[in-house]
Amino acid sequence: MYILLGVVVAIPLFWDVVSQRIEVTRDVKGVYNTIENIPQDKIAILSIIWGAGTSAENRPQTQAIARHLFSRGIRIIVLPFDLQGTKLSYDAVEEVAKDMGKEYGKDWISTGWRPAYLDQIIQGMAGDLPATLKTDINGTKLDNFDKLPLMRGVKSARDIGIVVDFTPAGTISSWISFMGQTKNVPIAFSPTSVEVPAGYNLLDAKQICGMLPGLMGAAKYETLLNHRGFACRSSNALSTSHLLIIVLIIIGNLGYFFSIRAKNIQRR
Amino acid sequence: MQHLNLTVFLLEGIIVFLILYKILSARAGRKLFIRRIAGLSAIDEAVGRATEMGRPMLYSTGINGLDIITLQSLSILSHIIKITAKYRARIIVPVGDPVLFTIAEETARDAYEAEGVPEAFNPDDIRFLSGDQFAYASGVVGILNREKVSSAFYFGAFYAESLILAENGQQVGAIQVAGTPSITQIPFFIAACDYTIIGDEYYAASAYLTKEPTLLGSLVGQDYAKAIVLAMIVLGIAATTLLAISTFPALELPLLRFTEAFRG
Amino acid sequence: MATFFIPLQGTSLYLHIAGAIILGLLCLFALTKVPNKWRKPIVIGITFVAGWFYLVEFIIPSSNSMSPVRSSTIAAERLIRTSAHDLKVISERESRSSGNNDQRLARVRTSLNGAIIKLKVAESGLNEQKPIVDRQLEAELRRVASFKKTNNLSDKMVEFRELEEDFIKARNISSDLIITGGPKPKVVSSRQAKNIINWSESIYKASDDINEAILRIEETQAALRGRDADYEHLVAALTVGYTVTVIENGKPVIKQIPGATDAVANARRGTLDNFLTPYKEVIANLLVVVGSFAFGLGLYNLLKFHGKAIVKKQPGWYSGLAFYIAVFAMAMLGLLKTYADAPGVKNLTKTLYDITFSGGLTALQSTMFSLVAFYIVSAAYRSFRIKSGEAVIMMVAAFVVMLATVPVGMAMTQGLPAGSPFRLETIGDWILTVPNMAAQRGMQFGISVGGLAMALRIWLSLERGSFFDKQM
Repeated sequence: MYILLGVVVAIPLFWDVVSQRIEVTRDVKGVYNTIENIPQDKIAILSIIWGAGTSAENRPQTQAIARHLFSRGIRIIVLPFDLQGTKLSYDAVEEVAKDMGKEYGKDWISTGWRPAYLDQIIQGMAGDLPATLKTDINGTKLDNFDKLPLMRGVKSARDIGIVVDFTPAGTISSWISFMGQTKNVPIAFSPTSVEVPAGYNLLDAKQICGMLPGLMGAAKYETLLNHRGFACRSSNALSTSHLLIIVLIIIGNLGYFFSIRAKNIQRR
Repeated sequence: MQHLNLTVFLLEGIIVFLILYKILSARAGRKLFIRRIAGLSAIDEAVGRATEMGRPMLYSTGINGLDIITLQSLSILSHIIKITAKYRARIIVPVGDPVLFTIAEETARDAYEAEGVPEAFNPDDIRFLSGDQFAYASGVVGILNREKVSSAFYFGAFYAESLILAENGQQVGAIQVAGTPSITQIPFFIAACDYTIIGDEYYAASAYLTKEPTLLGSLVGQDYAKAIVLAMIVLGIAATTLLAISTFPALELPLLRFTEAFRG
Repeated sequence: MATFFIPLQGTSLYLHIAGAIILGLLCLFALTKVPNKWRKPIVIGITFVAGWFYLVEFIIPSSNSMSPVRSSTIAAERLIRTSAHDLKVISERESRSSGNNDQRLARVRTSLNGAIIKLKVAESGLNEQKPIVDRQLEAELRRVASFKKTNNLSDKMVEFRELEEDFIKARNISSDLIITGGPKPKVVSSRQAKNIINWSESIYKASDDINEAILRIEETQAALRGRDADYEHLVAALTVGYTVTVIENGKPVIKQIPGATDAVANARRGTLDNFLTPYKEVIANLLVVVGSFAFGLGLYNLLKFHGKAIVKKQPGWYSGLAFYIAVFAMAMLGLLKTYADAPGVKNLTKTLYDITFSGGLTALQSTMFSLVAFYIVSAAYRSFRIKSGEAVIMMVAAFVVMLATVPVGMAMTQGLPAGSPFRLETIGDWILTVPNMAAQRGMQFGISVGGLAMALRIWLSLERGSFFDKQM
């Protein structure tokens, strides 16, 4: 069973033969529309809670959002709270930045790892962002505008156009509580598939502007951007694996029914 | 006030008052009823199984640090260890946070002392594995397989590692009881565990196990609070619907005030 | 010794750290000497005070000087929302060509006039604060200049200069600076200096927000005097705001125009700091320090446990050896990568670090998470059995949602017209956003109330069980 799953997932990843149409849902469109309407003088914060474990889902999401933000000329601050995620997110965003001709320090920065005391850091950032975060990943002070011209005019929550939380955990509530509800900053939720059902409550209550549900959310976003990246290619692997699970459940239930029938016949 | 508005402030006050009032009335001697929770009733069965098979048990507190969820988990751990101490069974407690590790060790030591068998406490059975999610999961999986545990308890905050733990427990043949307030992990535990504690049954667990009047009173107060929340939901639905269809201007302003009351 | 807004460094920093450690040890020692009957009340008292801080800071209002601003902005927001609601009803009625809107329009005009009056009251409250905060800023600037001169600092201290630039920026925001003789400048700590700057910015930004809200209301009033008011646009202007595209330097630029209620809410929220707010940062830093110490305890436990396994050659002792090698290798590589100066050593350690961290650890972590996929298959195959009617419903819903989220499922019903309710993705979306959300919300309410009750019991020391009612 495990080998079958491995084969069924691997084949579409290696042979990208079928390009299937992906319907974009309103949760993904919500994020897209919000980013489309961000004023150019505001910045975007990408909150990185993911690490190597969930990089298969969160990395394509990060890259899709970064690509859109770069295309709109919105400055990006990458804010990692995970040790592995610091390097992984830096590499991910750098890949997109190089592809789009964007420069570190001018168009985007990474602040380096922060210990995961989200509530305290977010509250501090809402009032005074440079004083709370202090330096970037290379140790350069955030108010050194010569090296980091991106930070010019960035002081508090008022200067933030959107926060996108890429997370495999339930950290979105901290962003909503201290940045979304109190400072009116649009918050987008970009969880792994496991956390997606909980996101619909927030979407309905308009506490988040939109959601990228797992790897398919990244695929839908790439569709909106007309860019066929890793997420779109992986959607075929998702299709085959879901079909396999459905087939196995049907087979399991058929076996169950036949065994019950056999027991009933034996009893008679 | 930072983000509270007056309505939420009053509502919180009423809820707090109800909880405290019920705690005090329970302490004054009033008998309170709590329904049977299958998963918690199965704890005795699980400990008995471990004793018969001569294999250890495992108790996982999740990967969160010291917070409300893990404090509740420690309450349940204390109860389980007291039963374990009676049967002289062995329980391994892997912990995912260094602050929590010291408190879990203290809790376990106190539980053994309370049962009069302090010599049965083995500090090596309370282990800090790692703060990292999957490093913790792989550590617990290793313990499950090496020690061939007979019973596994998962009480705490879990994320993606929940299915890894539960499936491995299933594969070694352990009887598994899980309880978590993480809503998104409950389906995985239901699929792989024998008993699952859902939603606020997790917070009712300590009251159920100890039958302590304070905790039972708090549980009844919580139920009253939930009734108030339900009433507010029904009133809110009615008010919003009336506001949408109403043609009486005199009725509109009060309805509008009511529906705006919860806005921050 | 004067403690200025220059961050501690060098000898004074280490002296402060040593002093804090000694003070902590003295407190612990004092606690052990306290008689038994007083220990529990002391712990209960400390628990209560610690919880009290955040609760009180959250609840208590800002100073009395901000009270007219707070009450006026709340009243103004209420009036603006009433107007927005009335305009929305007018818009709906006009589209249905039903009802007489004159009475409602009159109410809108009255509400908007009332809102402007309230906002002007709030504005005057803020204008009273501006000279006060300007004087504080000016006093700080004089003290900075005097400190520089006395200590002959000139350009030596970079952080000093940066803070001075903040002061100058803050001073320049004010339009009518009042320089008075004032009292003799006194020495203040760095936190007070930062608080003065932040408070000054809050006052001026709140004033800007209120002006923005007044502008939106005046635009709405002007539009209503005309013949063809776009009511939907006016509702947006009064509530969530709207975007406009302007041409700047030959390029189209999107500008966000804030809605009146949002601007008023921002003005109110920006002036809510009370006397406890500046200390939140101190408490937050304390938490980080305690957590860092606790990490050392956890590491000590691991070293002890695995060390014992190796020494006594217990079963699986080689795992302990692997642990020791991994811990010390990664620690050494990390330290050398950061602090080594010799280029050869630095390059070698960076390569080894990349191999072990990016190559080894990252790959292992990804592998662990990918196990979830395999376990989902085995769990689904083993446990999803149709044993009852509810199980049938659950199975159908699971199949629909699984297919709706992947392209192959979308392809199955792509022949149906776009927006058709029978498309798999539409049905899947309905399942997730209606029954799933209802169930999740219900559970979340219960869990949240349970969490609140437990937090209350711990804060008031009413919790029972485990270590809560042990003897101290």
